[in-house]
Amino acid sequence: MKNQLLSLIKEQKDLALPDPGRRRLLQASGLGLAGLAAGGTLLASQPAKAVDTSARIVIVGGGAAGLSVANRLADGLSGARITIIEKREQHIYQPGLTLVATGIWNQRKVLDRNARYMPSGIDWIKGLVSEFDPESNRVVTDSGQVVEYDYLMVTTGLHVDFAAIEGMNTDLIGTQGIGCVYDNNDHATRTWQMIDRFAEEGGVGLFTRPPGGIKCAGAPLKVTMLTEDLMQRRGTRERAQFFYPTAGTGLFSQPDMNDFLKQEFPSRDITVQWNHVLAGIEPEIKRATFATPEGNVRLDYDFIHVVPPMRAPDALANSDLAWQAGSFADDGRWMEVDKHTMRHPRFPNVFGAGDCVGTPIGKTAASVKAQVPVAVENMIQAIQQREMTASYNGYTSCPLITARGRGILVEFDYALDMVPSFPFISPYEEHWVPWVMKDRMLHAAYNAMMRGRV
Amino acid sequence: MAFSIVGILSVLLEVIRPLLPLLIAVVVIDFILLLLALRRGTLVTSGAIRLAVIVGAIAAVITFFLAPALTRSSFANLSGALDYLSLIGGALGVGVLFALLTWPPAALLQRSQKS
Repeated sequence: MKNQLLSLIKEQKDLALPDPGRRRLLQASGLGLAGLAAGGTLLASQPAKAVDTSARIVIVGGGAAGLSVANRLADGLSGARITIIEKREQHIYQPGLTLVATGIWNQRKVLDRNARYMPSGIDWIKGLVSEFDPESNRVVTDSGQVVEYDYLMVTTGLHVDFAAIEGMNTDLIGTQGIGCVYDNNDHATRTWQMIDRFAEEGGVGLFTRPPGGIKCAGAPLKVTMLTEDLMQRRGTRERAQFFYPTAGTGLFSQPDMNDFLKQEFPSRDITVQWNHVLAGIEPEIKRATFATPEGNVRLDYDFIHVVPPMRAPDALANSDLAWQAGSFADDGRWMEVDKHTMRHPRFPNVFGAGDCVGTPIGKTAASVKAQVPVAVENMIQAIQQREMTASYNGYTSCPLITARGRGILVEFDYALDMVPSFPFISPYEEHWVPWVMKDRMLHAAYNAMMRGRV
Repeated sequence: MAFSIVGILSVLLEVIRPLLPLLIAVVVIDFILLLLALRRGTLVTSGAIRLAVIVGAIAAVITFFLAPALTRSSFANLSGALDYLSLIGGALGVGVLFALLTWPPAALLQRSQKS
């Protein structure tokens, strides 16, 4: 029994600390009190006391996940040297882009500054990581700066792969009837110009959905339904034909919502085209090419909502941190993590959260809200050489806006079971309340999340 | 995913953060007026309470009718008990807030009318 215990302790030490020299130093300083808790209850939402450590922690990426991690680590650790690497100073509230692209919000509403959420006492390197070297516990920035770490948190976000669609580039958004809600406020604003014109003039509208994991997978659906709703409101609906060419054979990963949408789209005269992968676009003649099991299909359009496939950023995708085989490698070379602990299985001092990780569902701000406390708590427990106790259950959420003023608050987990935060809000029915939450409350919840408060 | 009480308060703080300086100013002024009314012994007068209740009721009714439009929607979007109870609850909350804010100046107004 004693030998088993010693063996377990040795194994934990070996897992927790990669470098023997630093290991001794950290062992002396890292044996603090109980770690951060996951935020599920009042008492567990913040650490009772910060854990003393001299660990060097690097956070790669300063988006929603990175900033939330930074705040939680800054609160939960004392003496740690925390560095965040993020080039952008501007912060974009991406969950609001569907409302910008459909003319409901002004783009100013989604613009913010990262500095407002950056905790004091951490180093902010304004650069991009161009190389991950987990064997040597270091990353290299695009300016050549080498940053060494004891623990690494990867929150890079993802890459929207416009180049994967032949003939497509971001300059085309806002011209030739092309829109794309993804990536930034400028794209969303230019998309609104195209949707506004389409809603007036009508014609054929193609609303695409690529294969694989994408961030906010509800966005292509919401853009479709909000555009259809806009034309109903303007009294121009009969001028347009709506098509939803999608790469798969379903509309939503959660089965109840999938059933709902499979009834909702036909009832609104939106034709779903299964197994249609957007392969190319010819802007000058407004024609799109779709790869289908029966061969390429060319469709003319007056408006097309282009949703490119998405993948891990190059530096991450090309590193040993990426999944090396399997569906997450084939899909987007996402970062490999244990789907419950958020720790890398081959590099135990590396954790990940947010859009970049390869987990079965997720890539929403709500996923970040659930993943970050788990990843941070487990990292702190690893620093303390304790057993990791926090577990991510796959929670994700989509306020599925079906029309301006109506929506369904859909929350589910890895098992695809509904897990509503507010039991009195039905996850199966359209209501005004989820719309009010989307319009008025969720941005506030997102900001609170970035401050590490929820 | 459950929200803790601290979490809910943090979200509410973020909701009002853009208006925080204005709200703090209003609360401070109201608090000063409250102290003045307490010193003059006119806080709990039927006239002051009646005026506060009337203002609160008017605010609640206006909120009830305007809230859908203020949230870029309409009454046609409301369906079922959840939506209507939320609207009524929100309107009552705004009404109580306005009544509380109106009470101290109403009490001082009563005093000045008497003197």
